Amino acid sequence: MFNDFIKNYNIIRDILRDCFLYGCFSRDGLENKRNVSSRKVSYEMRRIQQYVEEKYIKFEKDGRYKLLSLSYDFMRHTDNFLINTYMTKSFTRTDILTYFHILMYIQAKSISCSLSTIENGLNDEGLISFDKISSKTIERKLAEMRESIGILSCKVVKRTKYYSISPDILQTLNNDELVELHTAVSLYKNIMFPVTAGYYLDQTLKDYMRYERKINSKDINFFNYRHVHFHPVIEEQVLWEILKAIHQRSKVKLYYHSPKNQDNRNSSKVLSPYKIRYDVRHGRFYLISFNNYGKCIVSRLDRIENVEILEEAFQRSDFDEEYTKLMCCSWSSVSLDEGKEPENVKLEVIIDEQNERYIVEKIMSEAPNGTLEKIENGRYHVSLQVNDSGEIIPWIRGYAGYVRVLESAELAERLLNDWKEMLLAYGIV
Amino acid sequence: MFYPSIEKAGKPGCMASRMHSEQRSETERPANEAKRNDQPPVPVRFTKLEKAWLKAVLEKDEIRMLLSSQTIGKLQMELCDFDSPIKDEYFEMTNIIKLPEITQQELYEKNFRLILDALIQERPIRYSNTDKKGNVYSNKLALPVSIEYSMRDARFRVSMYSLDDNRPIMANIFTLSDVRIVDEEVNIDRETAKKLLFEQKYSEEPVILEVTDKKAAMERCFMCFSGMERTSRDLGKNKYEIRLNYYLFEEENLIRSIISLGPYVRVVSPQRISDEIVKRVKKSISLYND
Repeated sequence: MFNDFIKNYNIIRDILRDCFLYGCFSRDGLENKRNVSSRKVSYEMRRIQQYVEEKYIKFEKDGRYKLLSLSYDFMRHTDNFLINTYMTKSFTRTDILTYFHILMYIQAKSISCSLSTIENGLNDEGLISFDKISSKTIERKLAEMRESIGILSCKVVKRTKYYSISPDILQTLNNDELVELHTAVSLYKNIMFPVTAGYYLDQTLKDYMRYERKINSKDINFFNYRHVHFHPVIEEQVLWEILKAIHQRSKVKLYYHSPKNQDNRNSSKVLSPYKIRYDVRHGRFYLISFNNYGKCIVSRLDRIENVEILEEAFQRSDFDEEYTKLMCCSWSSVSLDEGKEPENVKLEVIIDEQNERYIVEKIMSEAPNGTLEKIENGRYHVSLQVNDSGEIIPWIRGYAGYVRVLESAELAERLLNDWKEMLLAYGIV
Repeated sequence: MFYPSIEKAGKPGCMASRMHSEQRSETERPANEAKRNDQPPVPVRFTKLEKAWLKAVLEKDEIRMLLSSQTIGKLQMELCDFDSPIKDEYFEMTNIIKLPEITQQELYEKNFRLILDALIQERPIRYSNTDKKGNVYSNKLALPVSIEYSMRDARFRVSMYSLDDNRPIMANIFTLSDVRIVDEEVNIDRETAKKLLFEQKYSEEPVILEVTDKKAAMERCFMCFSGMERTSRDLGKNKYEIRLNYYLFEEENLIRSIISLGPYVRVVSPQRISDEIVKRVKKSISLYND
């Protein structure tokens, strides 16, 4: 039977990525690409359609096939609609009811309550039945609400736990300050990772203003964004686990999946997670970690299915120097191979000095640690060091017509071959 | 039900007294304690994840342009014991644009706040500006449409509708001077100005690309153009067609992005863009022959 909700976000991640990024696969096309059953693809596509607003979903016909795609325009659509895909978790009836009954009971009592008080209170009100819900279930729910969600706090008096609603951290803010905070959140929820947390907070703040303060909050649309990708949101559950591990200084095991076959899962060796690198241009997260032999491992977050946080700890400071050495000349994600030195790259930039000086400024602003030398009017040399010159080829290509590679000869030849191949693609021999 | 009993309970108490009562255990509960009758049945509180994020936001430099120091101080005090795993030192942004530092930080922050106020109040501003070429524009009248943040260069810019020239414009916030909110009547509102920007600046025909999916060309393509409305279809034999709708002021960036994707991405139409790409590629080859 078709179920609206899912237990685990991983179920929709791959299909969401294919739909969102590509949008050119029919149900059969995806079935072949992902090696999953047609029924599963169909279910996940239906689910995605339920969570994402209609205006972002496009349907195209390609012969007899129906194509579904998700796309947006960065000027018109500023809210990341993929956040909604996280609102899909399935709960049992008992889960939901216990959560709200506990909250409402403690709120109504306005005092700290022990497990037995809560349990007896709910039973007296006829909201739970001891036949159906055990003490253990309520105790587990209370622990979840305190430890992982944080909506309850707890103190222990003579070995008995007393639960209360968590302190209201907004209590000292007046209504104007709440509106001010709402404006700030509406900006940062799109630009500070994990953005999902920002969107959740935005909603909670709106609820707080409405229910706790009786303020009608308006939708804020004062900001728009450039170079803010929506798709990295799909990796944010993995990102959050990694951030926790980095912060706790806990080693991890990563479980990768191959894009072609979900069942082909591979686990990594034990790793010390050190840093998240985010490629702003392409919207891609990388984890830089070190294995037990000190080797630097770079992992794409979109290839990671699960993160296991281990009890084994590491010292972050052990890798500070190594990270700087291995990544300081990385354009995006390539680390320096053991025993190797960064490559020297020298570019000649040829411009019309009067009208195109901005090209040189743009190149310099994009080349970290690049140095500039003016040879003569309209001719400049830019020198930089990179771990792997292959990483900067797309960037150099972007300055077609202005840039010639002087060093290295291999890089110059690769670029020249690319140009010739491009002309061939356009039918020019 | 236990909830209706709240309605019957005593007078509303202040937030602080409620806080204290929450922290008292039932064993310490004073008699006849007043309950708030205006509190919602379900309390609204931030989760740990949300608190972690909020604490990290308070560490951002630009937050002081949006929140008063008093608000920041209050929130920091509330969150001082909360341990957030979201820290700047755990992230490194790559492929960014590093622009020269803003020299007049105070003026920049003041301008930002004024423009944000103008947006909130939906009122026009008067300002002076000096562009890159040194041209000075004095006492110009415009309606702010939005504040734009670029994640690549971490700069805020203001998108406005110029009431002197009747056209959308974009300006660096830090180059503006003498910014003030004015009471003058204007014949356009923000939503209309936005619509004009969308309509006037949107290309009539899409760019059609043919992508050969080698060396992850499709994935790179979609990542580069993720913020553009698009459709795509499978042409078979590992080839795909992508149609991109774009804003005319983005055309130069679009051309550069297409070229940066390399030989596996070809512009099918419009001919104008295809010709421009061929021209640039030919010029690139000629640089090696000189």
